Amino acid sequence: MIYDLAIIGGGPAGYSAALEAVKYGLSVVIFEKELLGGTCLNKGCVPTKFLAHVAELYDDRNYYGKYGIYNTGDIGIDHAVTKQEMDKTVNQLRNSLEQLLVSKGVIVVKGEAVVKSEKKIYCGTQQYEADNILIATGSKQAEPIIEGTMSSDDILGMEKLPESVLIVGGGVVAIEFAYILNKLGCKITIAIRGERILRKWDKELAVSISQLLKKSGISILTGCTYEDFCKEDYDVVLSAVGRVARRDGTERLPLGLDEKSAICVDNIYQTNIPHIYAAGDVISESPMLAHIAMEQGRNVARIIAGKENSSSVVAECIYISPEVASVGMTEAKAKAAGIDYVSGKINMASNARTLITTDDRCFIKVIVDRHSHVIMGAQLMCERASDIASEFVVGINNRMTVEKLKESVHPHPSYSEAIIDVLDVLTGKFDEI
Amino acid sequence: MSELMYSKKHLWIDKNGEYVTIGITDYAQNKLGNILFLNLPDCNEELSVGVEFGDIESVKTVSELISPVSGIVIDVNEELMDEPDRINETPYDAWLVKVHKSMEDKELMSKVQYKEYIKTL
Repeated sequence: MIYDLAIIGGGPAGYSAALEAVKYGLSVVIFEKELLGGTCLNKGCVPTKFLAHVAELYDDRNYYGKYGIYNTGDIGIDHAVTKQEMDKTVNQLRNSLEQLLVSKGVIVVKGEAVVKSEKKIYCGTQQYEADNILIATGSKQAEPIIEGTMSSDDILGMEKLPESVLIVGGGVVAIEFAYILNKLGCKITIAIRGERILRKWDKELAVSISQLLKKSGISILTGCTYEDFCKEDYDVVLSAVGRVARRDGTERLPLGLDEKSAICVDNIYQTNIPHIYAAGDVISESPMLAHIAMEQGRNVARIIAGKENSSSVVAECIYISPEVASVGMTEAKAKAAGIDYVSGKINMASNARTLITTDDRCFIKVIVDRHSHVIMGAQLMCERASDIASEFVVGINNRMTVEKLKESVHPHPSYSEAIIDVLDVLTGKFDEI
Repeated sequence: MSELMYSKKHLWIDKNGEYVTIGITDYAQNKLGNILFLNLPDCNEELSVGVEFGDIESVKTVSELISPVSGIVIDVNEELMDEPDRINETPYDAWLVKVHKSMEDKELMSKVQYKEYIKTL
C-alpha cells in the first residue's frame, strides 16, 4: 500500500504528527530505531523531571524544622532504587504511547528506516511507500569539548551518584543538571567560557538563576579556558554544550542543510524536496524544545490533510525551584526591535501561597505595547511558573490587553493571582503616562 | 572622592570630571528594606536623564532606578548583583554603575540640600 504519511522518528514531533494525521483519516506509518518517545521521554524532559522531583523531596528535609516537622531518623538516597523507579515511569509512559498510537491505527515499525528516494523507504528488507515523508529524526548531543567526559545520557544511566561534578556549559540542560545533582547531594561546579549562564535568555532571569544557584552552594566559574575544563579535581565531568541535528537514514536525500547540518524548511515545514517535510530538533534554528516539536509535527499533519496550520507563542521553561518560564517578547528583544513598550514587575513576597511555600525570591515581569496595552511577553521565576505561563500564552495568542486579562477573577489564595498584581503595576504606569 | 551629589530619585553621584559613579542613598535603602535583587544595564548602554536604567527589588517593592545623568555605561558592579544586600550594609560603597556622562540632572542636590529634601517627604 502507499501510505499518506511516513514518519521517520518516534519522538515528540513524529508521534504528534502521527496522532494528528490519523484524526484526518490519513494512513500513517512511523519508524523508530531506538525507543518510542525520543529524547524527551527517554533521555530528556521526563527522566530529568523525575530526578528533579526526587531531588526536591530530598531537599525538603532542610526545611522540616521551619515548619515544625521533626525527624529523628536518617534520611538518605538509595540511587539504585531511584533509578529503578525512574526507568519504570519512563517505560510506563513509553508503553502508553505505543498503545495509543496502535489504537489510533498508526502502523508502528521498530527498526532503522532508510529513505531511498522521495517516496520509498526501506526498513531491513521491507520496502514502504508513502506520498509524504516527515523527517523527525531529532538531535544528539554535540561533541564534547574535551575527551572522556560524560553526557547527560550517561549521568541518567548511573547507578551511583558521583560526589563532585564539573558541568561544562551554561545552557538549560547544564542548569537543570546542576540544580538536580546539587539537591541530590553532589558538589557542583559550572564552568563557562562567557561571563553569564543562559546567555540566550532574558538577562534578569539569567542573573536571578545565577544568584539562586550560588546561594544553594553551586560554584559558577566564568571566563574559563580549555585548561580549566580539563582540571581533574572532579569525579565526573558532564559535557552539556548543546545539541545538534541527527539525520539518520535520510543522508541519501539531496536535502538543503544549514551550516550546522540541520535541515532547512519553509514556513510549512517542507524541505527543498516537495512532499518531504521536517520537524522538531532536526530542523534549522530549532529551539530544541519538545512542545515546539509537537506543534510543528501537528502542523505538518494539518498541512498534508489540507487543513489550516496554527501558530502559537510558546513558553520556554527551566525546571528548577522556583520554576522559570519565558513567553514571547523580552525587554531586550523589544528594545532591539524598536518597540515602544512598558514593562511591569512584581516580586511575590506578598503573595500568600508563595510566602507559605518558599523563602526564595519569586517574580513576574510582563512586557506590553505602550499604546495598545496588548500583552507581548512575560518572564516568570516563581512556584509553578511553567503552569502560570500558559495564561500569558493564551493572552498573547489572543492579542489580549492588560485590561482584558484583568477582567478574569483569579482564585485566592493562589500563585496565579500575582498576575493581577503585576497587571495592576502596569495599569499604574499607564496612568503616569 | 569629591563631595557626593544627590538626585530626587535617591541616587548618589560621585563626580570625577566626565566620569560619574552612581549608587543608592542610605535613605532609600532604609525605605526599601531588605534588598533582594538588582537589575542593572550592561556596559556600553546609553543612559538618559530622567529615564529608567534598571530596577531594585526589596521584600517590600520593586522600584525603578531613574538615571541622574546622560551618558554611556563604562562599568557595572557585577559582584553587587550577586549580593545586592550589600547595599543595605554599606550603601555608599555599593556602587551600581560608572558612567561617562554627557549631561547631568539640573536638580542634583548637595548633602545639606538632600537632607532638607528628605525631611519634606
